[in-house]
Amino acid sequence: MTQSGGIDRAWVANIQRYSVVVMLVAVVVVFASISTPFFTASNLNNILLQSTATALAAIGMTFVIVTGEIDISIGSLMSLAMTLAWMFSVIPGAEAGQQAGVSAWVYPVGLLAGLALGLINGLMIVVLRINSFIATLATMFAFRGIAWKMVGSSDKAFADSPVLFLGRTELFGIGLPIYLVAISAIAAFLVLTRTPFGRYLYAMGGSPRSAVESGLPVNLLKVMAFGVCGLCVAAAGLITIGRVGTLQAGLGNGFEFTVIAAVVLGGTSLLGGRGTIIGSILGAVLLVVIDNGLNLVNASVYIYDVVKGAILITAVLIDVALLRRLGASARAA
Amino acid sequence: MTRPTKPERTGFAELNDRPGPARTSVPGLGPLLAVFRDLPMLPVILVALTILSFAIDGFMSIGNAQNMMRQLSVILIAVTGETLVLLIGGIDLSIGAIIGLASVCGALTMQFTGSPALGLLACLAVGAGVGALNGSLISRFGLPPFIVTFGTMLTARALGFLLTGGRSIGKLPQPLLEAGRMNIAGIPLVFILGLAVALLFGFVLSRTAFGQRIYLTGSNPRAALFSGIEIDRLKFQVYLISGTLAGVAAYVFMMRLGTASPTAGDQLLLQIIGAVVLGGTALTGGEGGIARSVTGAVLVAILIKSLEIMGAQFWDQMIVIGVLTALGSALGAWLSRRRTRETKREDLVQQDE
Repeated sequence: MTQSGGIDRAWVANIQRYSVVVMLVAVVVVFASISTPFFTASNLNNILLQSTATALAAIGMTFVIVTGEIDISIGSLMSLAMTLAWMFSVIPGAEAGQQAGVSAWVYPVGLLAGLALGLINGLMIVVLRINSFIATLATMFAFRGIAWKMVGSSDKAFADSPVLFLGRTELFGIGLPIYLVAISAIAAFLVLTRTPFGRYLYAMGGSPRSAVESGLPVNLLKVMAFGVCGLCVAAAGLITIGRVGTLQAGLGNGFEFTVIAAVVLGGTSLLGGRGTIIGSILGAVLLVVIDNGLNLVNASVYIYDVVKGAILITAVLIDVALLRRLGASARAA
Repeated sequence: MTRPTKPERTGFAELNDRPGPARTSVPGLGPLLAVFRDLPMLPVILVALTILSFAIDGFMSIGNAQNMMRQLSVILIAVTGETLVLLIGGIDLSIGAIIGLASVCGALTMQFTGSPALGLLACLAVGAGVGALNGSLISRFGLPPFIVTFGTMLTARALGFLLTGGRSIGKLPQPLLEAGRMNIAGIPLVFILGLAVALLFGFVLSRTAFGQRIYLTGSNPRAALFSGIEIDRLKFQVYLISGTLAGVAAYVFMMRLGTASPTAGDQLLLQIIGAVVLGGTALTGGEGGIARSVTGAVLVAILIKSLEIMGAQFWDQMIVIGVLTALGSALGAWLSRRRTRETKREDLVQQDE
């Protein structure tokens, strides 16, 4: 490797890989130095717990974005999947009262509903041959509308229901959702990097044309990626309603943007073909740390989005600048 | 035109499938079909209007027409900007947020100075400022438009909230409100403004070198680069225009409703992109136009209005808009594939002769 560009290829790759870590450390140091309660065990545990839903959805979203597609329907998808789960698992008779009883069916039905809705997204893109942004924009409206139609304006409370078990149980002092995210992350990592399915997804995102020409079942892979995303988002929904304890029609409103931001912060390229699970999770944690820290220093609620928007653009700016340097030094070599 | 029958052509099965004469050669119907093919949503609008005029009492009344025109005014201006951006192969997610922030800044300016003209200036400045930021980040640094405009969307929206504390601002100057209520020959002034903006940029796109550059860059950036177009500069200009138009839309929004709010554009963003795509402008760039976006916007407006009159809840409206967006863009994509096939076939036929 020549040093004509003054920059080493491996060094750049590492910076890219770890830029989200660097940002995370920087943000943590800043908040720890200006807020005493920030760097305490209970708050850090709290941060991890808060970021589980985003992290889990970000794992699913990584599957979609790696193929070069996007899913902006996930907020509505989560809402509709949880609504379906509630409808099919509500215990008869309890509905009339203030507190709805829900059976353990809420888990399988919720996950299945998420998977099915994700598959619908994928099938629309493949069958109607439309852009994934538009297809999921359409289902973003449609899913939300259906969910609203079913839930109505009143919240559905889950008291004493098994769904609270996932949200509120602790094992060795660590919340159950954190274990769930850890297991899902390892599984997703293995699937993406160690199975043909995962490698095909990267190949498809990196070069759709050669993927088609080398005979990959492109349509099937796309539909599967959206299915995985729907499944993960439904799991994130179960965590969310388990922690909050109510189901509202507005559940997941704006969630898609948080999750996409997390994935992009984690170094996954929106153009496809490049991205890691661990990056997406760290991206999710980073966003939650920002929320949490700004909350602790009593910043105005409205500042949150300014900071997140700025960090997002900065991260992409650094990424693109590094890629250019990399390209330049590769040409020089 | 002769049908190619040489054996080596058999490879092009799909091309030989439908070798009939080009549609435009049907006498009398040709121009009409051409218009429909160019504006795929126009027949849908005509059918919808016919059905609705029978199905709903008072749908075709002047009062309802004026009402719908008022609703369309802001959307028309916003879709014009978004169309330019999509044509060049980009996307602008920040339009809705700019409308919110610009309306807040414009309203505050008018409250302090009492001058509607300064208010307009503030709206334009905010719109142009955010547009220029989008444009320079995208063109100079080569960042993906989705992320950049997503970031500015978050930031602009939050700034609007910071300025107002989340409240909406009323008590705008009287002349502004009067202008908003004014009708010229029965047509609301705000609608005339919206239509004027759309017509102006429709003309720019189809009749000027600037418009040609946008189409060429959107459909084939490489060819555009080789033919000497300064793509970066063009991109910057397009995002600048899009932002500025969002500023104009914010001003018209205040004229129409008499209030300003940081959430003004929240509902608009998806309507805008939905209308543009429904009208038949492709997200991939180079394909589409202002006329199509206008038909898309009109269709969405008709739809929302008729569902409202029928007493449908807003969630039913959402479901219908969602389904239509999907079907509309599927139709658009299909038509565009067909057209490419036809041009290919015509090329082959020409080579044959």
